[in-house]
Amino acid sequence: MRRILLLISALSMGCQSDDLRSVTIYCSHDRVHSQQILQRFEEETGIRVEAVFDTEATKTVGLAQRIRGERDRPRCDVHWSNEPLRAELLAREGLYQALPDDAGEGIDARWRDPENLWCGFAARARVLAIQPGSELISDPPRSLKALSASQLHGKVVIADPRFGTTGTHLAIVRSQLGGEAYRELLMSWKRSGIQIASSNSASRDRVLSGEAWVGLTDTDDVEAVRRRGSEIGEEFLEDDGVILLPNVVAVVAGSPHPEEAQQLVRWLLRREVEEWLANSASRQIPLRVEVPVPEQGLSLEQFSVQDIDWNLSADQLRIAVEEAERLLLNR
Amino acid sequence: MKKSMFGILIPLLPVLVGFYLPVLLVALDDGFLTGSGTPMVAGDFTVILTTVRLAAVAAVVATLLGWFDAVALAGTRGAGRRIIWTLLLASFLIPPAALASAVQACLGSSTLRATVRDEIGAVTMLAIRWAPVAAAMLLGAASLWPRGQERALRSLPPLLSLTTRVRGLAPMALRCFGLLFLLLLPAAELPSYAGVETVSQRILSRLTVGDAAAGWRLAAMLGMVALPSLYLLFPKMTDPQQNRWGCGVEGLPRWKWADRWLWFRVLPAACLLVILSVTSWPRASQWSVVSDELVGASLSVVLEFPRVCLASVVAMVCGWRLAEAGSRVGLILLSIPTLLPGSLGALALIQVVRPLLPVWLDDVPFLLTIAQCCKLGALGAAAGLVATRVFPRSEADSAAMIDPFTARWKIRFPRALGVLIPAAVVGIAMALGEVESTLLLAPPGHPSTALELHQMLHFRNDEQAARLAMVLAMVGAILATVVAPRGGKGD
Repeated sequence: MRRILLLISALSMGCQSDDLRSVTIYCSHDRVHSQQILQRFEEETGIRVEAVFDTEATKTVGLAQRIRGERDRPRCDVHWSNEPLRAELLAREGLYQALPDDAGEGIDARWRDPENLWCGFAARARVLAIQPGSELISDPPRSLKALSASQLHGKVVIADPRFGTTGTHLAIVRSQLGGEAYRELLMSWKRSGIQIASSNSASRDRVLSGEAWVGLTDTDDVEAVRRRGSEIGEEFLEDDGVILLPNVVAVVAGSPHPEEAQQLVRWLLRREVEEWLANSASRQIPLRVEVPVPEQGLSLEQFSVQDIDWNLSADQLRIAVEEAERLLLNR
Repeated sequence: MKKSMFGILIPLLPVLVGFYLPVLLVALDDGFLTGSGTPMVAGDFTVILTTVRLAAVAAVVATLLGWFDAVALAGTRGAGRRIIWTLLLASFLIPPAALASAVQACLGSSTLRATVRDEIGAVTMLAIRWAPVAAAMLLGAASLWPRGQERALRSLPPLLSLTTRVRGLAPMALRCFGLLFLLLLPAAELPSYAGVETVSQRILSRLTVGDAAAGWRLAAMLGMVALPSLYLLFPKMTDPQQNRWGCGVEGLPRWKWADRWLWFRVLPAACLLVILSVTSWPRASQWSVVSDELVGASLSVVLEFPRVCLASVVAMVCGWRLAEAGSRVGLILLSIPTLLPGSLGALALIQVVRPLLPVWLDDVPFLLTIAQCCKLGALGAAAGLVATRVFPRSEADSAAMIDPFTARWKIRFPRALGVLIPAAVVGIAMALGEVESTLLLAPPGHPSTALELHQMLHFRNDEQAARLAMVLAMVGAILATVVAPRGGKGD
């Protein structure tokens, strides 16, 4: 009987090795890029990084929910989120602790939590992917309202508004327009036969295939296919003001490896990391103006960037998503 | 406590501790009963109706396909039957993400084109994927016919014999439809590739914006839809039927239309494997990187294998034990966790059970194993039910003459292995491709090829995704060959 119990415990445990210095990170940035950066941290510091990477939110409940669930006995040290609103909500719930004071020097206060519970770095921009063969390439839309124009009827696609950066974008829009104007915007989209895809990458793919002429997505999704040789146009929402969604890093309250967590956070918020991300296929936008960007890259100075109240936008997330579901998805 | 009650409680322990208790506590804590959160609106009921319609239609189509497959395999003989059966099973055992990878590589899009999108596309994908399960169940039922009846069938003209088999399998086909309907209710992944929203997806959306109470209410609605079907699915337990395994291939007719049908049926699986092979084939300069990737992915599967094996075996043994004890309620309780999205149970486990466990268990996938074991409950219940029905009455009478423990574990259990082992193999494949609870419960750094595949797909890393998908497809094919010898009647 004892042998059987030993065998069962061995099988259920799998193989795990002891570690001396390690840090655990929950990362929702694309694995392809973030893994390389974390490997560099390991090589430089000798601290082993145990990473859990997120997957598409429409199929699972993501890592933010896991952090909530582990509240009583945190397992994660550092949370690297790919957008700030859900991080803001976690901060409000007391799930983050203050970052080291010297972390992220040079990053402007508008990309940080006022209480220093999280800090943004290397952003993506919300962008319209444009079908190169469409009639729009010479005169593309430059605002969300323009997506309901009659010549675009049935030719615009957005990702499922309840998940990911599309949900974040809509919450920001609601915080700026107010409830009534926001609902009117959604209804105008509905009337113009907007398509809903499962994710930003699926929206981009519909534009690539010609099913849609315009797709609301993120800059990294456009760049990913461009680097594979696909032709696709992009247009920023200059008439509304461009929305930048920074990556966000935070230390989880009650982190099991606080020293290593602080070390990793300091390291991730260095200017070199922004530079690597700007040079990567995700074409991130450094939040420090002095960080050089490659020729095809994007810099903060080239846009008229919207000033976003993250706190107010986070307040709007749930209602914005509910209204989008009711007005765009429900039949 | 009565001995019989004890016998039912022990196999229910994994789902009681790993699902019901944590789910109940978390749902109450989230305000499930107090009415907090978004109230249900007409749109929610529409999604429930869509889900029910999708599951019902897909289950009907899958059952019909599986019915034809089973009759062709059981009632005729021909060349390449083992290959056919292996490919047929592989189309189920290969995880949906591998299918998505092939579609993406082939069509250049992560969702299907408009012509096959929406409910028709979702039904097609679900039916093709689940038809082999129907075929396996019906083939199992066909092989349980008494030997004399089987011989009589073989003496009939081929077409008459086949139509008689079709009629003979009708009651089992109805039950098969019921089981598939229940298994398809929580489907989220394949419908999402076709752009169709199901209840599971809506539950996840509620949870991600912190509206957990509304998520639990939707889950309860899904459970209420499923419960009556579940009750009807598991019949009142009676004594085992007098069944015997069927004969060999002697006397079975050859029929070219059966061969043509079966080769047509394995086309999707064959195409999937060809597309993945072509996409994943590396350029000359990539060989060393690719071999590293393949070794890494294979190693992940090897490391995961004992754990998923344990999860699947426990689920099957629990299902068999409950069926053997004649507990209809027990089988229903075992099956319910399968009907809800895996994320719900996993979240409840993190919140309720994990804080009670010693810290060192955080470094091992203990809770993940429990969650996956619970998720395989319906499969275990179905396998247990079938396994108890293949026990001949004469042996049951003999077993009744010795002490119950010995009779159960030394006579009945070994005889049930013929059904339980193939079912466990299917469970292993399902657990290897599972991502919902893996994302929430796997310890940091824990290998999961299926999760990695999803991440690659998201970034349109088609070649690397195809290579990971190939590894999973190969595992699926190997597992299918393990099960295959019991299935087809080859030459």
